Amino acid sequence: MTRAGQHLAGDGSWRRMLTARPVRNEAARLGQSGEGNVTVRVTKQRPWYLLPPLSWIVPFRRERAAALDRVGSRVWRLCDGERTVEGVIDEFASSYHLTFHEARVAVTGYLKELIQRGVLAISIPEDDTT
Amino acid sequence: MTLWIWRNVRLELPADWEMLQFSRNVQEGRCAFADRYQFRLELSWRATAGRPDFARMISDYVARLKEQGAANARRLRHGPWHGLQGDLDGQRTSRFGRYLPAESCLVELVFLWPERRDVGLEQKVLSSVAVEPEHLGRFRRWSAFGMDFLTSKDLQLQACTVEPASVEMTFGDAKRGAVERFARRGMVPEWMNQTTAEWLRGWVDGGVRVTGVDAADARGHRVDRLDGEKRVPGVLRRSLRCDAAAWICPRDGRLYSTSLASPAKEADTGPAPAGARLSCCSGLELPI
Repeated sequence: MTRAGQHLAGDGSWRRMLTARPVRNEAARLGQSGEGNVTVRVTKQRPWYLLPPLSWIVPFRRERAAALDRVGSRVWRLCDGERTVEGVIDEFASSYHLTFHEARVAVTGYLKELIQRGVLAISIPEDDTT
Repeated sequence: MTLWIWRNVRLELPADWEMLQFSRNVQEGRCAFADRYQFRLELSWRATAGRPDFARMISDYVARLKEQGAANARRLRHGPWHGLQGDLDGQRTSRFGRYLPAESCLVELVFLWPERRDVGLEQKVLSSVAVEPEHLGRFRRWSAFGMDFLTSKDLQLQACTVEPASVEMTFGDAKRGAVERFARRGMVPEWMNQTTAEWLRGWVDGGVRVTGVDAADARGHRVDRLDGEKRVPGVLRRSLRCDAAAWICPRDGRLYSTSLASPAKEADTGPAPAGARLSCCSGLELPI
């Protein structure tokens, strides 16, 4: 036999990622557009190096805004601090008639973006297998 | 159980196992399926000149597994399948191999068992593996990513793009210029801002001159069709005949589309024009 199956060994599970819980940044302020889309604003800290004369050239914006499209807004609303990533994916899949993995790829893409913009954080449960 | 047909090999898997990895290579490749938590099955194939010596292969493999510290390594057998099981790095696997003479290829299935080995499921899957026959004398059937379709048997899978709620598979023969595309798209209300007929016009190759459009009802599905032709650049002044169709399945709300382009001289869609080559549900079955 060949070494079939070797590709799947070791990294074959994403169960831990699914049990994580997306938590909203409590300092985030919400806005809503006419179409029901969400805009999330978070306050930034001024970088220590942004002092005159550099700050005269590079303007500092106190707030960063993330304008979410309709689907992104739906993901944001599902991240209520109670649902796990798996729960968000299940709800998303059910809303848009997607398979679990279709929804997983879409949702994790949005979550990644929201985390990078500082409006969401991920709470990972402690490993209870030890 | 859900039917999957890939590279002429058919198998039935639990409905929640989805294909997350695949190969287009006919000679040697693999597909991997996962449930919601982890990979569960790998299907791999390798074209070989003749039947391999399974007894020796299994012996070598068992020896190698033991060398690597695998526990509970033992041989298995199910009908024509030669196999073995073993526990390595806390993961129980069972693997089976079989030669498919009609395809001249060795097929292997590797099951990953997160908990106990489910022999009943394993046997059900193994028993479902078979070579998919040719249909209507000139078509190959594929069943993947929610699409069940027929391609001309002489075309090769050239591209397969899988994104959330969007899959498109393209088959072709570069020499003849023939191209067949099959697609399925979800979340339609989120992005579709035109009619299906307008969308179809934009989806088919930009160089196609439309010669006719129509729409017909096929068992509850409103199928928009388009005919056209396309000039192939070059001194031979060849042209391709195009036949395309698109519809939204009322059962799953997804947009299905297919586009067939073949040299005008050969064009004869016969019993399977574009709209009949792709099935979305039991309401619109393939003519086989």
